[in-house]
Amino acid sequence: MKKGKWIVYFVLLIAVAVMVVPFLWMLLTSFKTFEDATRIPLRILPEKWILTNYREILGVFPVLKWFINSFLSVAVSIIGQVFLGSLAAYSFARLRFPGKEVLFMLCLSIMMIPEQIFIIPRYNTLAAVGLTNTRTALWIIRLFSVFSVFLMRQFILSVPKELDEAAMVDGCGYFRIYATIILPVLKAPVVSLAILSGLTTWKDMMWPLIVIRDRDKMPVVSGLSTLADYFANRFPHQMAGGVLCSVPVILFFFVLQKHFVAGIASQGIKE
Amino acid sequence: MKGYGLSQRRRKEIVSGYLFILPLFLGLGVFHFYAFFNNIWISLTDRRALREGRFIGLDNYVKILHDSDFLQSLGNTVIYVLICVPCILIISILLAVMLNSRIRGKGLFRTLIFFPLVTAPSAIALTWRWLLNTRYGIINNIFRAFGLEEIAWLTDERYTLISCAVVIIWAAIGYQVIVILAGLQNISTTYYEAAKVDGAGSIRQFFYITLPLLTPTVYFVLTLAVISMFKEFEIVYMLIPSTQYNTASPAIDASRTVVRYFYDLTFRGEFNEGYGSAISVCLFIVILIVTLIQNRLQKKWVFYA
Repeated sequence: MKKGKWIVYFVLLIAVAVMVVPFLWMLLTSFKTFEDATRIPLRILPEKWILTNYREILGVFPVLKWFINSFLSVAVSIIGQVFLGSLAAYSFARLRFPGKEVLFMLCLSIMMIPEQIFIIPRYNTLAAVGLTNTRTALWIIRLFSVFSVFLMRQFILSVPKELDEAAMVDGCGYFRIYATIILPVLKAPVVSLAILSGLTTWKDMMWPLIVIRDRDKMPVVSGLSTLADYFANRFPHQMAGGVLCSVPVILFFFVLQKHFVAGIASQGIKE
Repeated sequence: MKGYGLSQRRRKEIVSGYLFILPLFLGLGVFHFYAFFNNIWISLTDRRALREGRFIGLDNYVKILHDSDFLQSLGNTVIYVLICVPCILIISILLAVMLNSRIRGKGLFRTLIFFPLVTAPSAIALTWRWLLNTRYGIINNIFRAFGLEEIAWLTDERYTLISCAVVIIWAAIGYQVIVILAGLQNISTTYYEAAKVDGAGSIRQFFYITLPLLTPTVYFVLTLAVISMFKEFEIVYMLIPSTQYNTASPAIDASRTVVRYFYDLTFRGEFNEGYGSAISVCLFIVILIVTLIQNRLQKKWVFYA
Protein backbone atom coordinates (compact mmCIF):
# COMPACT_ATOMS: atom_id res chain seq x y z
CA MET A 1 0.00 0.00 0.00
CA LYS A 2 2.72 2.44 1.03
CA LYS A 3 4.54 1.80 -2.22
CA GLY A 4 1.36 2.47 -4.21
CA LYS A 5 0.94 5.85 -2.57
CA TRP A 6 4.49 6.78 -3.44
CA ILE A 7 3.75 6.12 -7.11
CA VAL A 8 0.60 8.26 -6.91
CA TYR A 9 2.55 11.22 -5.52
CA PHE A 10 5.24 10.75 -8.12
CA VAL A 11 2.81 10.73 -11.07
CA LEU A 12 0.86 13.69 -9.73
CA LEU A 13 4.03 15.70 -9.22
CA ILE A 14 5.02 15.04 -12.81
CA ALA A 15 1.56 16.08 -13.99
CA VAL A 16 1.75 19.29 -11.99
CA ALA A 17 5.21 20.02 -13.38
CA VAL A 18 3.99 19.48 -16.94
CA MET A 19 1.13 21.91 -16.32
CA VAL A 20 3.04 24.56 -14.41
CA VAL A 21 6.47 24.68 -16.08
CA PRO A 22 5.21 26.21 -19.36
CA PHE A 23 3.67 29.06 -17.37
CA LEU A 24 6.76 29.57 -15.25
CA TRP A 25 8.89 29.63 -18.36
CA MET A 26 6.57 32.19 -19.95
CA LEU A 27 6.77 34.29 -16.78
CA LEU A 28 10.57 34.13 -16.58
CA THR A 29 11.03 34.88 -20.28
CA SER A 30 8.76 37.90 -20.04
CA PHE A 31 11.30 39.59 -17.73
CA LYS A 32 14.28 38.94 -19.99
CA THR A 33 15.82 40.98 -22.76
CA PHE A 34 15.82 39.38 -26.20
CA GLU A 35 19.54 38.63 -25.92
CA ASP A 36 19.06 37.11 -22.49
CA ALA A 37 16.15 34.93 -23.65
CA THR A 38 18.00 33.60 -26.68
CA ARG A 39 21.26 32.76 -24.94
CA ILE A 40 22.61 29.28 -25.54
CA PRO A 41 23.05 27.39 -23.32
CA LEU A 42 19.86 28.53 -21.61
CA ARG A 43 19.88 30.44 -18.38
CA ILE A 44 16.82 29.86 -16.28
CA LEU A 45 16.62 33.13 -14.37
CA PRO A 46 16.81 36.51 -16.09
CA GLU A 47 20.23 38.10 -15.91
CA LYS A 48 18.50 41.33 -15.00
CA TRP A 49 14.78 41.49 -14.29
CA ILE A 50 13.34 44.08 -16.65
CA LEU A 51 9.85 45.48 -17.19
CA THR A 52 10.46 47.14 -20.55
CA ASN A 53 8.64 44.35 -22.46
CA TYR A 54 5.51 45.02 -20.46
CA ARG A 55 5.86 48.76 -20.82
CA GLU A 56 6.29 48.54 -24.58
CA ILE A 57 3.28 46.24 -24.96
CA LEU A 58 1.03 48.46 -22.91
CA GLY A 59 2.20 51.42 -24.97
CA VAL A 60 0.98 49.79 -28.19
CA PHE A 61 -1.90 47.53 -27.16
CA PRO A 62 -4.92 48.39 -24.98
CA VAL A 63 -4.76 45.20 -22.91
CA LEU A 64 -7.01 46.58 -20.17
CA LYS A 65 -9.64 47.41 -22.77
CA TRP A 66 -9.41 43.86 -24.08
CA PHE A 67 -10.29 42.59 -20.63
CA ILE A 68 -13.19 45.00 -20.38
CA ASN A 69 -14.44 43.86 -23.80
CA SER A 70 -14.09 40.20 -22.88
CA PHE A 71 -15.76 40.75 -19.54
CA LEU A 72 -18.66 42.65 -21.09
CA SER A 73 -19.31 40.08 -23.79
CA VAL A 74 -19.14 37.23 -21.27
CA ALA A 75 -21.41 39.03 -18.79
CA VAL A 76 -23.99 40.22 -21.29
CA SER A 77 -24.22 36.85 -23.01
CA ILE A 78 -24.65 35.04 -19.70
CA ILE A 79 -27.38 37.41 -18.54
CA GLY A 80 -29.17 37.11 -21.86
CA GLN A 81 -28.95 33.34 -21.85
CA VAL A 82 -30.22 33.10 -18.29
CA PHE A 83 -33.32 35.22 -18.90
CA LEU A 84 -34.25 34.22 -22.45
CA GLY A 85 -33.33 30.61 -21.73
CA SER A 86 -35.18 30.26 -18.45
CA LEU A 87 -38.32 31.89 -19.81
CA ALA A 88 -38.38 29.47 -22.73
CA ALA A 89 -37.40 26.58 -20.45
CA TYR A 90 -40.33 27.35 -18.14
CA SER A 91 -42.67 27.40 -21.11
CA PHE A 92 -41.35 24.08 -22.43
CA ALA A 93 -41.36 22.42 -19.01
CA ARG A 94 -44.72 23.58 -17.65
CA LEU A 95 -47.08 25.08 -20.21
CA ARG A 96 -49.05 23.10 -22.77
CA PHE A 97 -49.45 24.53 -26.24
CA PRO A 98 -49.78 23.07 -29.72
CA GLY A 99 -46.52 22.32 -31.50
CA LYS A 100 -44.48 22.33 -28.30
CA GLU A 101 -42.74 19.00 -28.95
CA VAL A 102 -41.80 20.00 -32.49
CA LEU A 103 -40.42 23.35 -31.39
CA PHE A 104 -38.41 21.71 -28.64
CA MET A 105 -36.99 19.11 -31.00
CA LEU A 106 -36.05 21.97 -33.32
CA CYS A 107 -34.09 23.50 -30.43
CA LEU A 108 -32.35 20.25 -29.63
CA SER A 109 -31.37 19.68 -33.24
CA ILE A 110 -29.42 22.96 -33.23
CA MET A 111 -27.08 21.55 -30.60
CA MET A 112 -25.81 19.03 -33.15
CA ILE A 113 -24.71 21.69 -35.63
CA PRO A 114 -21.12 22.98 -35.61
CA GLU A 115 -20.98 26.72 -35.21
CA GLN A 116 -18.94 27.23 -38.39
CA ILE A 117 -22.08 26.65 -40.41
CA PHE A 118 -23.64 29.84 -39.04
CA ILE A 119 -20.62 32.09 -39.29
CA ILE A 120 -20.79 33.40 -42.87
CA PRO A 121 -24.52 34.26 -42.77
CA ARG A 122 -24.14 35.80 -39.31
CA TYR A 123 -21.32 37.96 -40.55
CA ASN A 124 -23.41 39.05 -43.54
CA THR A 125 -26.43 39.78 -41.36
CA LEU A 126 -24.40 41.92 -38.97
CA ALA A 127 -22.67 43.66 -41.89
CA ALA A 128 -26.07 44.49 -43.37
CA VAL A 129 -27.10 46.34 -40.20
CA GLY A 130 -23.67 47.90 -39.66
CA LEU A 131 -22.77 45.90 -36.56
CA THR A 132 -19.50 44.39 -37.73
CA ASN A 133 -16.45 45.76 -35.96
CA THR A 134 -18.51 46.69 -32.91
CA ARG A 135 -18.42 45.25 -29.42
CA THR A 136 -22.10 44.39 -29.82
CA ALA A 137 -21.16 41.83 -32.46
CA LEU A 138 -19.19 39.92 -29.83
CA TRP A 139 -22.19 39.12 -27.63
CA ILE A 140 -25.29 39.48 -29.76
CA ILE A 141 -24.85 36.10 -31.42
CA ARG A 142 -24.46 34.43 -28.02
CA LEU A 143 -27.62 35.69 -26.35
CA PHE A 144 -29.73 32.87 -27.74
CA SER A 145 -28.55 29.56 -26.42
CA VAL A 146 -30.36 26.31 -26.91
CA PHE A 147 -28.08 24.69 -24.39
CA SER A 148 -29.35 27.07 -21.71
CA VAL A 149 -32.95 26.06 -22.47
CA PHE A 150 -32.08 22.39 -22.28
CA LEU A 151 -30.15 22.75 -19.01
CA MET A 152 -32.82 24.78 -17.24
CA ARG A 153 -35.74 22.78 -18.56
CA GLN A 154 -34.19 19.63 -17.07
CA PHE A 155 -33.96 21.41 -13.75
CA ILE A 156 -37.47 22.89 -13.80
CA LEU A 157 -38.89 19.42 -14.48
CA SER A 158 -37.43 18.33 -11.15
CA VAL A 159 -39.09 21.20 -9.25
CA PRO A 160 -42.33 20.01 -7.62
CA LYS A 161 -45.37 21.17 -9.55
CA GLU A 162 -47.42 21.78 -6.41
CA LEU A 163 -45.62 25.09 -5.94
CA ASP A 164 -46.87 26.64 -9.15
CA GLU A 165 -50.28 25.04 -8.80
CA ALA A 166 -50.72 26.65 -5.40
CA ALA A 167 -49.71 29.99 -6.86
CA MET A 168 -52.16 29.48 -9.70
CA VAL A 169 -54.98 28.94 -7.23
CA ASP A 170 -53.99 32.26 -5.64
CA GLY A 171 -54.60 33.83 -9.03
CA CYS A 172 -51.00 34.35 -10.17
CA GLY A 173 -50.44 34.67 -13.90
CA TYR A 174 -47.88 32.53 -15.69
CA PHE A 175 -45.29 35.27 -15.81
CA ARG A 176 -45.69 35.92 -12.09
CA ILE A 177 -45.15 32.21 -11.43
CA TYR A 178 -42.04 32.23 -13.59
CA ALA A 179 -40.62 35.34 -11.96
CA THR A 180 -41.47 34.58 -8.34
CA ILE A 181 -41.32 30.78 -8.10
CA ILE A 182 -39.26 29.31 -10.93
CA LEU A 183 -36.52 31.90 -11.47
CA PRO A 184 -35.43 32.06 -7.80
CA VAL A 185 -34.84 28.30 -7.57
CA LEU A 186 -32.70 28.14 -10.71
CA LYS A 187 -29.50 29.02 -8.90
CA ALA A 188 -27.70 25.72 -9.51
CA PRO A 189 -28.26 25.52 -13.29
CA VAL A 190 -27.55 29.23 -13.61
CA VAL A 191 -24.12 28.79 -12.02
CA SER A 192 -23.39 25.85 -14.33
CA LEU A 193 -24.57 27.82 -17.31
CA ALA A 194 -22.52 30.86 -16.34
CA ILE A 195 -19.37 28.77 -16.05
CA LEU A 196 -19.85 26.70 -19.20
CA SER A 197 -21.10 29.40 -21.51
CA GLY A 198 -18.76 31.97 -20.00
CA LEU A 199 -15.82 29.70 -20.79
CA THR A 200 -17.04 29.24 -24.35
CA THR A 201 -17.43 32.96 -24.97
CA TRP A 202 -14.16 33.82 -23.27
CA LYS A 203 -12.13 31.24 -25.21
CA ASP A 204 -13.69 31.72 -28.62
CA MET A 205 -11.17 33.15 -31.05
CA MET A 206 -12.58 32.67 -34.52
CA TRP A 207 -15.60 34.94 -34.26
CA PRO A 208 -13.70 37.93 -32.78
CA LEU A 209 -10.95 37.48 -35.39
CA ILE A 210 -13.57 37.65 -38.12
CA VAL A 211 -15.81 40.37 -36.86
CA ILE A 212 -13.50 42.85 -35.08
CA ARG A 213 -10.89 44.94 -36.88
CA ASP A 214 -10.04 47.73 -34.43
CA ARG A 215 -7.54 46.90 -31.73
CA ASP A 216 -9.45 48.59 -28.95
CA LYS A 217 -12.65 46.65 -29.65
CA MET A 218 -11.05 43.21 -29.43
CA PRO A 219 -11.49 40.72 -26.63
CA VAL A 220 -8.42 39.24 -24.95
CA VAL A 221 -8.09 36.09 -27.01
CA SER A 222 -7.99 37.65 -30.47
CA GLY A 223 -6.15 40.69 -29.12
CA LEU A 224 -3.29 38.48 -27.99
CA SER A 225 -3.27 36.88 -31.41
CA THR A 226 -2.69 40.28 -33.06
CA LEU A 227 -0.10 41.12 -30.44
CA ALA A 228 1.78 37.94 -31.31
CA ASP A 229 1.77 38.93 -35.00
CA TYR A 230 2.95 42.44 -34.19
CA PHE A 231 5.84 41.25 -32.03
CA ALA A 232 6.72 38.39 -34.37
CA ASN A 233 9.87 36.61 -33.16
CA ARG A 234 10.33 39.01 -30.26
CA PHE A 235 9.81 36.23 -27.78
CA PRO A 236 10.05 38.12 -24.48
CA HIS A 237 7.41 40.59 -25.71
CA GLN A 238 5.14 37.76 -26.75
CA MET A 239 5.57 36.09 -23.38
CA ALA A 240 4.83 39.32 -21.55
CA GLY A 241 1.64 39.55 -23.60
CA GLY A 242 0.82 35.98 -22.66
CA VAL A 243 1.34 36.77 -18.97
CA LEU A 244 -0.85 39.87 -19.10
CA CYS A 245 -3.62 37.95 -20.83
CA SER A 246 -3.57 34.81 -18.70
CA VAL A 247 -2.58 35.72 -15.15
CA PRO A 248 -5.78 37.66 -14.30
CA VAL A 249 -8.04 34.79 -15.34
CA ILE A 250 -5.88 32.23 -13.57
CA LEU A 251 -6.20 34.25 -10.36
CA PHE A 252 -9.93 34.48 -11.01
CA PHE A 253 -10.01 30.70 -11.33
CA PHE A 254 -8.10 30.22 -8.06
CA VAL A 255 -10.70 32.30 -6.23
CA LEU A 256 -13.77 30.69 -7.83
CA GLN A 257 -12.39 27.19 -8.37
CA LYS A 258 -15.22 25.52 -6.49
CA HIS A 259 -17.82 26.97 -8.84
CA PHE A 260 -15.81 26.14 -11.93
CA VAL A 261 -15.44 22.54 -10.85
CA ALA A 262 -19.12 22.23 -9.90
CA GLY A 263 -20.23 23.82 -13.16
CA ILE A 264 -18.08 21.62 -15.37
CA ALA A 265 -18.85 18.50 -13.35
CA SER A 266 -22.60 19.05 -13.58
CA GLN A 267 -22.76 18.33 -17.28
CA GLY A 268 -21.16 14.89 -17.03
CA ILE A 269 -23.56 13.48 -14.47
CA LYS A 270 -26.56 11.66 -15.87
CA GLU A 271 -29.43 10.79 -13.68
CA MET B 1 -61.55 34.23 -32.15
CA LYS B 2 -64.16 31.56 -31.68
CA GLY B 3 -62.31 29.76 -28.92
CA TYR B 4 -63.22 26.25 -30.07
CA GLY B 5 -64.52 25.49 -26.62
CA LEU B 6 -61.26 26.40 -24.97
CA SER B 7 -61.66 27.90 -21.57
CA GLN B 8 -60.23 31.33 -21.03
CA ARG B 9 -57.62 29.89 -18.73
CA ARG B 10 -56.48 27.36 -21.32
CA ARG B 11 -56.26 30.05 -23.96
CA LYS B 12 -54.11 32.11 -21.62
CA GLU B 13 -51.81 29.15 -21.13
CA ILE B 14 -51.36 28.69 -24.86
CA VAL B 15 -50.72 32.38 -25.48
CA SER B 16 -48.22 32.55 -22.62
CA GLY B 17 -46.52 29.42 -23.87
CA TYR B 18 -45.83 31.01 -27.23
CA LEU B 19 -45.00 34.43 -25.79
CA PHE B 20 -42.37 33.00 -23.45
CA ILE B 21 -40.47 31.22 -26.19
CA LEU B 22 -40.84 34.11 -28.59
CA PRO B 23 -37.79 36.20 -27.55
CA LEU B 24 -35.55 33.16 -27.80
CA PHE B 25 -36.98 32.04 -31.10
CA LEU B 26 -36.59 35.50 -32.62
CA GLY B 27 -32.85 35.26 -31.99
CA LEU B 28 -32.62 31.60 -32.97
CA GLY B 29 -34.55 32.49 -36.09
CA VAL B 30 -31.97 35.01 -37.22
CA PHE B 31 -28.71 33.52 -35.96
CA HIS B 32 -29.46 29.81 -36.24
CA PHE B 33 -32.39 28.78 -38.46
CA TYR B 34 -32.04 31.50 -41.08
CA ALA B 35 -28.25 31.28 -40.88
CA PHE B 36 -28.34 27.52 -41.39
CA PHE B 37 -30.49 27.62 -44.53
CA ASN B 38 -28.82 30.75 -45.82
CA ASN B 39 -25.48 28.99 -45.44
CA ILE B 40 -26.73 26.06 -47.48
CA TRP B 41 -27.97 28.49 -50.14
CA ILE B 42 -24.62 30.33 -50.22
CA SER B 43 -22.86 26.98 -50.63
CA LEU B 44 -24.75 26.57 -53.92
CA THR B 45 -23.47 29.89 -55.28
CA ASP B 46 -20.11 31.39 -56.22
CA ARG B 47 -20.46 34.27 -53.79
CA ARG B 48 -17.18 35.98 -52.95
CA ALA B 49 -16.19 38.78 -50.58
CA LEU B 50 -19.76 39.91 -49.85
CA ARG B 51 -20.67 40.22 -53.53
CA GLU B 52 -23.86 38.39 -54.52
CA GLY B 53 -23.12 35.13 -56.25
CA ARG B 54 -24.72 33.15 -59.04
CA PHE B 55 -26.41 29.84 -58.44
CA ILE B 56 -23.97 27.13 -59.51
CA GLY B 57 -25.66 24.02 -58.20
CA LEU B 58 -23.41 21.48 -56.54
CA ASP B 59 -20.20 22.74 -58.16
CA ASN B 60 -18.64 23.72 -54.83
CA TYR B 61 -19.27 20.25 -53.43
CA VAL B 62 -17.82 18.59 -56.49
CA LYS B 63 -14.77 20.82 -56.16
CA ILE B 64 -14.40 19.90 -52.48
CA LEU B 65 -14.26 16.21 -53.29
CA HIS B 66 -11.29 16.91 -55.56
CA ASP B 67 -9.63 19.51 -53.33
CA SER B 68 -6.49 17.84 -52.04
CA ASP B 69 -5.99 20.55 -49.39
CA PHE B 70 -9.46 19.94 -48.01
CA LEU B 71 -9.02 16.19 -48.05
CA GLN B 72 -5.69 16.58 -46.27
CA SER B 73 -7.29 18.77 -43.60
CA LEU B 74 -10.01 16.17 -43.13
CA GLY B 75 -7.39 13.44 -42.88
CA ASN B 76 -5.43 15.52 -40.37
CA THR B 77 -8.57 15.99 -38.30
CA VAL B 78 -9.15 12.26 -38.21
CA ILE B 79 -5.53 11.74 -37.14
CA TYR B 80 -6.01 14.31 -34.37
CA VAL B 81 -9.03 12.36 -33.17
CA LEU B 82 -7.11 9.08 -33.26
CA ILE B 83 -4.08 10.49 -31.41
CA CYS B 84 -5.61 12.97 -29.01
CA VAL B 85 -8.81 11.29 -27.88
CA PRO B 86 -7.23 8.07 -26.53
CA CYS B 87 -4.42 10.05 -24.88
CA ILE B 88 -6.85 12.50 -23.30
CA LEU B 89 -9.03 9.64 -22.03
CA ILE B 90 -6.21 7.56 -20.57
CA ILE B 91 -4.35 10.46 -18.97
CA SER B 92 -7.52 12.02 -17.53
CA ILE B 93 -8.82 8.76 -16.11
CA LEU B 94 -5.43 8.03 -14.55
CA LEU B 95 -5.14 11.49 -13.02
CA ALA B 96 -8.77 11.56 -11.88
CA VAL B 97 -8.44 8.20 -10.10
CA MET B 98 -5.27 9.40 -8.38
CA LEU B 99 -6.82 12.71 -7.41
CA ASN B 100 -9.76 10.81 -5.99
CA SER B 101 -7.61 8.58 -3.77
CA ARG B 102 -6.69 9.40 -0.22
CA ILE B 103 -3.61 11.55 -0.46
CA ARG B 104 -2.31 14.71 1.14
CA GLY B 105 -2.40 18.02 -0.67
CA LYS B 106 -5.25 16.91 -2.92
CA GLY B 107 -6.64 20.44 -3.22
CA LEU B 108 -3.33 21.89 -4.35
CA PHE B 109 -2.73 19.09 -6.85
CA ARG B 110 -6.19 19.63 -8.29
CA THR B 111 -5.82 23.40 -8.61
CA LEU B 112 -2.48 23.09 -10.35
CA ILE B 113 -3.75 20.48 -12.80
CA PHE B 114 -7.03 22.29 -13.53
CA PHE B 115 -5.93 25.88 -14.01
CA PRO B 116 -4.93 25.79 -17.70
CA LEU B 117 -8.60 25.27 -18.55
CA VAL B 118 -9.34 28.96 -18.05
CA THR B 119 -6.31 30.17 -19.95
CA ALA B 120 -6.90 31.82 -23.31
CA PRO B 121 -6.05 29.31 -26.06
CA SER B 122 -3.95 31.97 -27.78
CA ALA B 123 -1.84 32.33 -24.62
CA ILE B 124 -1.42 28.55 -24.42
CA ALA B 125 -0.37 28.29 -28.04
CA LEU B 126 1.97 31.26 -27.74
CA THR B 127 3.70 29.74 -24.73
CA TRP B 128 4.16 26.44 -26.49
CA ARG B 129 5.41 28.18 -29.61
CA TRP B 130 8.21 29.46 -27.44
CA LEU B 131 8.84 26.14 -25.70
CA LEU B 132 8.99 24.37 -29.07
CA ASN B 133 11.12 27.00 -30.82
CA THR B 134 13.77 25.18 -32.84
CA ARG B 135 16.81 27.14 -31.74
CA TYR B 136 15.90 28.73 -28.41
CA GLY B 137 13.06 26.56 -27.17
CA ILE B 138 13.51 24.81 -23.84
CA ILE B 139 12.59 21.43 -25.33
CA ASN B 140 15.23 21.40 -28.03
CA ASN B 141 17.75 22.72 -25.52
CA ILE B 142 17.04 19.70 -23.36
CA PHE B 143 17.35 17.48 -26.44
CA ARG B 144 20.71 19.03 -27.19
CA ALA B 145 21.88 18.59 -23.63
CA PHE B 146 21.28 14.86 -24.03
CA GLY B 147 23.18 14.86 -27.31
CA LEU B 148 20.02 14.46 -29.43
CA GLU B 149 19.47 16.38 -32.62
CA GLU B 150 17.18 19.37 -32.52
CA ILE B 151 13.81 19.01 -34.19
CA ALA B 152 11.99 21.79 -36.05
CA TRP B 153 8.73 21.11 -34.23
CA LEU B 154 6.78 23.95 -35.78
CA THR B 155 8.28 24.28 -39.25
CA ASP B 156 9.16 20.76 -40.35
CA GLU B 157 6.01 19.29 -41.88
CA ARG B 158 6.81 15.86 -40.48
CA TYR B 159 6.40 17.16 -36.93
CA THR B 160 3.83 19.97 -37.01
CA LEU B 161 0.82 17.71 -36.54
CA ILE B 162 2.31 15.85 -33.60
CA SER B 163 3.36 19.14 -31.96
CA CYS B 164 -0.17 20.47 -32.27
CA ALA B 165 -1.57 17.20 -30.95
CA VAL B 166 0.60 17.39 -27.84
CA VAL B 167 -0.53 20.92 -27.07
CA ILE B 168 -4.19 20.05 -27.72
CA ILE B 169 -3.94 17.15 -25.30
CA TRP B 170 -2.19 19.34 -22.74
CA ALA B 171 -4.90 21.98 -23.00
CA ALA B 172 -7.79 19.48 -22.77
CA ILE B 173 -6.68 17.48 -19.72
CA GLY B 174 -7.80 19.80 -16.91
CA TYR B 175 -11.39 20.03 -18.10
CA GLN B 176 -11.80 16.31 -18.68
CA VAL B 177 -10.26 15.36 -15.33
CA ILE B 178 -13.00 17.40 -13.66
CA VAL B 179 -15.76 15.60 -15.58
CA ILE B 180 -14.27 12.18 -14.79
CA LEU B 181 -13.74 13.07 -11.13
CA ALA B 182 -17.44 13.87 -10.90
CA GLY B 183 -18.22 10.48 -12.42
CA LEU B 184 -15.93 8.75 -9.92
CA GLN B 185 -17.56 10.48 -6.99
CA ASN B 186 -20.91 9.25 -8.25
CA ILE B 187 -19.87 5.61 -7.76
CA SER B 188 -21.28 4.30 -4.53
CA THR B 189 -18.67 3.31 -1.94
CA THR B 190 -20.58 0.14 -1.07
CA TYR B 191 -19.10 -1.56 -4.15
CA TYR B 192 -15.61 -0.95 -2.85
CA GLU B 193 -16.47 -2.07 0.64
CA ALA B 194 -17.84 -5.31 -0.75
CA ALA B 195 -14.72 -5.76 -2.86
CA LYS B 196 -12.49 -5.19 0.16
CA VAL B 197 -14.36 -7.87 2.08
CA ASP B 198 -13.73 -10.20 -0.85
CA GLY B 199 -10.05 -9.27 -0.68
CA ALA B 200 -9.71 -7.50 -4.04
CA GLY B 201 -6.64 -5.25 -4.36
CA SER B 202 -6.76 -1.71 -5.68
CA ILE B 203 -5.72 -2.66 -9.22
CA ARG B 204 -8.46 -5.27 -9.44
CA GLN B 205 -10.94 -2.85 -7.93
CA PHE B 206 -10.08 -0.39 -10.67
CA PHE B 207 -10.67 -2.85 -13.51
CA TYR B 208 -13.69 -4.66 -12.07
CA ILE B 209 -15.55 -1.85 -10.32
CA THR B 210 -14.32 1.61 -11.24
CA LEU B 211 -13.95 1.17 -14.97
CA PRO B 212 -17.29 -0.56 -15.70
CA LEU B 213 -19.23 1.88 -13.53
CA LEU B 214 -17.38 4.78 -15.09
CA THR B 215 -18.31 3.86 -18.67
CA PRO B 216 -21.23 6.36 -18.90
CA THR B 217 -18.85 9.18 -17.94
CA VAL B 218 -16.16 7.85 -20.26
CA TYR B 219 -18.70 7.79 -23.06
CA PHE B 220 -19.63 11.38 -22.33
CA VAL B 221 -16.00 12.50 -22.27
CA LEU B 222 -15.33 10.56 -25.46
CA THR B 223 -18.19 12.29 -27.27
CA LEU B 224 -17.10 15.67 -25.97
CA ALA B 225 -13.47 15.10 -26.95
CA VAL B 226 -14.24 13.76 -30.43
CA ILE B 227 -16.56 16.66 -31.27
CA SER B 228 -14.13 19.25 -29.91
CA MET B 229 -11.36 17.69 -32.02
CA PHE B 230 -13.49 18.16 -35.13
CA LYS B 231 -13.90 21.81 -34.19
CA GLU B 232 -10.27 22.39 -33.25
CA PHE B 233 -9.01 25.73 -34.50
CA GLU B 234 -7.34 28.04 -32.02
CA ILE B 235 -4.30 26.03 -31.04
CA VAL B 236 -3.50 24.82 -34.54
CA TYR B 237 -3.97 28.32 -35.91
CA MET B 238 -1.78 29.99 -33.29
CA LEU B 239 0.91 27.34 -33.07
CA ILE B 240 1.65 27.16 -36.81
CA PRO B 241 0.77 30.73 -37.81
CA SER B 242 0.20 31.90 -41.33
CA THR B 243 1.49 35.22 -42.60
CA GLN B 244 -0.81 37.92 -43.82
CA TYR B 245 -0.73 36.90 -47.47
CA ASN B 246 0.36 33.34 -47.20
CA THR B 247 -2.06 30.88 -45.67
CA ALA B 248 -0.39 27.78 -47.02
CA SER B 249 2.98 26.20 -46.41
CA PRO B 250 3.96 22.56 -46.00
CA ALA B 251 4.06 23.08 -42.23
CA ILE B 252 0.55 24.53 -42.19
CA ASP B 253 -0.92 22.03 -44.63
CA ALA B 254 0.39 19.10 -42.60
CA SER B 255 -1.28 20.27 -39.39
CA ARG B 256 -4.38 22.09 -40.60
CA THR B 257 -7.81 20.99 -39.38
CA VAL B 258 -11.01 21.31 -41.38
CA VAL B 259 -12.11 24.32 -39.34
CA ARG B 260 -8.82 26.08 -39.91
CA TYR B 261 -9.09 25.37 -43.61
CA PHE B 262 -12.58 26.86 -43.54
CA TYR B 263 -11.23 29.96 -41.80
CA ASP B 264 -8.12 30.39 -43.96
CA LEU B 265 -10.10 30.07 -47.15
CA THR B 266 -13.09 32.17 -46.20
CA PHE B 267 -11.62 34.94 -44.11
CA ARG B 268 -7.95 35.22 -44.99
CA GLY B 269 -7.35 34.11 -48.53
CA GLU B 270 -9.79 34.66 -51.34
CA PHE B 271 -12.88 35.38 -49.22
CA ASN B 272 -14.60 32.67 -51.20
CA GLU B 273 -17.84 32.47 -49.24
CA GLY B 274 -19.60 30.00 -51.49
CA TYR B 275 -16.81 27.48 -51.18
CA GLY B 276 -16.31 28.19 -47.46
CA SER B 277 -19.94 27.55 -46.63
CA ALA B 278 -19.83 24.31 -48.60
CA ILE B 279 -16.89 23.26 -46.41
CA SER B 280 -18.88 24.05 -43.27
CA VAL B 281 -21.77 21.92 -44.56
CA CYS B 282 -19.34 19.05 -45.15
CA LEU B 283 -18.03 19.47 -41.61
CA PHE B 284 -21.59 19.24 -40.33
CA ILE B 285 -22.21 16.04 -42.29
CA VAL B 286 -19.00 14.47 -41.00
CA ILE B 287 -19.85 15.35 -37.39
CA LEU B 288 -23.35 13.97 -37.88
CA ILE B 289 -22.01 10.65 -39.17
CA VAL B 290 -19.48 10.38 -36.35
CA THR B 291 -22.16 11.09 -33.75
CA LEU B 292 -24.46 8.45 -35.23
CA ILE B 293 -21.66 5.86 -35.18
CA GLN B 294 -20.84 6.72 -31.59
CA ASN B 295 -24.46 6.33 -30.59
CA ARG B 296 -24.57 2.92 -32.24
CA LEU B 297 -21.38 1.69 -30.60
CA GLN B 298 -22.40 3.06 -27.24
CA LYS B 299 -24.83 0.19 -26.65
CA LYS B 300 -22.00 -2.29 -26.97
CA TRP B 301 -19.80 -1.10 -24.15
CA VAL B 302 -21.49 1.49 -21.95
CA PHE B 303 -22.74 -0.05 -18.75
CA TYR B 304 -25.64 1.65 -17.01
CA ALA B 305 -25.86 0.39 -13.45
